[in-house]
Amino acid sequence: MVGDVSSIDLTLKDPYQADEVADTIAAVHPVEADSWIRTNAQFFTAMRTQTISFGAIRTSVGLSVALGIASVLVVSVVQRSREIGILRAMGASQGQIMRVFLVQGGIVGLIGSIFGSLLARGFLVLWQTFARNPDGTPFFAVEIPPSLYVLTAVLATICGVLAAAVPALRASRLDPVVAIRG
Amino acid sequence: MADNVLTLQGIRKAYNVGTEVETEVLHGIDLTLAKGEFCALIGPSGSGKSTLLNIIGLLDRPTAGSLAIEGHDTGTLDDRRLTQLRGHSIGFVFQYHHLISAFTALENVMMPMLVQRGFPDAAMHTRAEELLGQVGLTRWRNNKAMSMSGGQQQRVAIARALAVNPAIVLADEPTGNLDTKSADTVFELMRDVNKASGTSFLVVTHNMALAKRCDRTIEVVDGRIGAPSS
Repeated sequence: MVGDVSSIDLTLKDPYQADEVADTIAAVHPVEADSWIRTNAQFFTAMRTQTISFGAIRTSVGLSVALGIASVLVVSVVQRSREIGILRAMGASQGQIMRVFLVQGGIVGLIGSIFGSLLARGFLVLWQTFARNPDGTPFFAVEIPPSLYVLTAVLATICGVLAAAVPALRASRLDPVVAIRG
Repeated sequence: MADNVLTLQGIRKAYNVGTEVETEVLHGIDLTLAKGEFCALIGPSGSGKSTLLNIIGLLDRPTAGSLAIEGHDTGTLDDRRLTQLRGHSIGFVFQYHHLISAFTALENVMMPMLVQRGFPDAAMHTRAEELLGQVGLTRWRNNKAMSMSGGQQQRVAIARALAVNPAIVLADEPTGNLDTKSADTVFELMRDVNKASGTSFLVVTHNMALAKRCDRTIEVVDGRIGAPSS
């Protein structure tokens, strides 16, 4: 119908209230009301799937790193069993031996996170330098907030300490006589 | 006797206790070590010398009998107290010195004090320097353990054993891995330390010539003490 209004687009302050607002309009007025969330359902499903995938990848990487640290420390315990035995003979308590390996796990995690952060920062700079639109602007701007570096370091250190728990326990329970004999 | 730093009464040690293959390797050992005594422990391989030394060093527990170190009955102590007593009263010298390879001679000597106190301090450093001077290794104090000769490493091990001024030093074949000259030097060094500081030594050795130079020789045969000789 010429001259009539065929559609009205609304912009919401909170875009995620679109479903609720569309339902209210449809209930009050004899019009068809759709939210952008419903019309882009496939996009949302894809986004949700991507978020779940990222979470799964992050968890897998975290577990791999923890297992990597744990296996390095298990080897370290085996290689140093004689030294552990000597320290026990000198009067080192089981707690002191445990602390050595827990601290080592924490340091490995912390140093790993520092290297990882530097590497991530480097790749980001490279991306923003070379991946640009024809007008010279970046494809999309990515910024890593400083708090994320701190959080990463803290989480990696905790992860390292937790990964070291089993090797540390194993080291502390070594029989000094057997350990010294090798 | 109050002057005994070590008293063993009826020490027995059996493995696989309560099973069909229970094996007793020490059959009621009675032994004393007086303060300042330098004693050799001899016997054929498999006679129980190492087991006895591990029990005296509080690294292993006897199946029966009593063991007192500096008057402390160790039978009533839990693992934590045994570890503390071991750290304060006993020094070890092993056949293969067992220095920590990543550390220097000075750091190795400081290690027992660090274990006891938990943090390094200037007094610890001074004590380690003194001990390395005593064993004639001042020039090599900053050398990594692995860059020293076998004799030098064993001298570092002796300095380390003396770091916390223990009442007893237990030496398990300390010259067994050394040439004749180095063995003699290391033995003389332990003798000098014994005379100068009054630290008691119990030295396991297969070298009868060295054993004869000790105050007393104790022979272990088939898990029993043989006839003593002076």
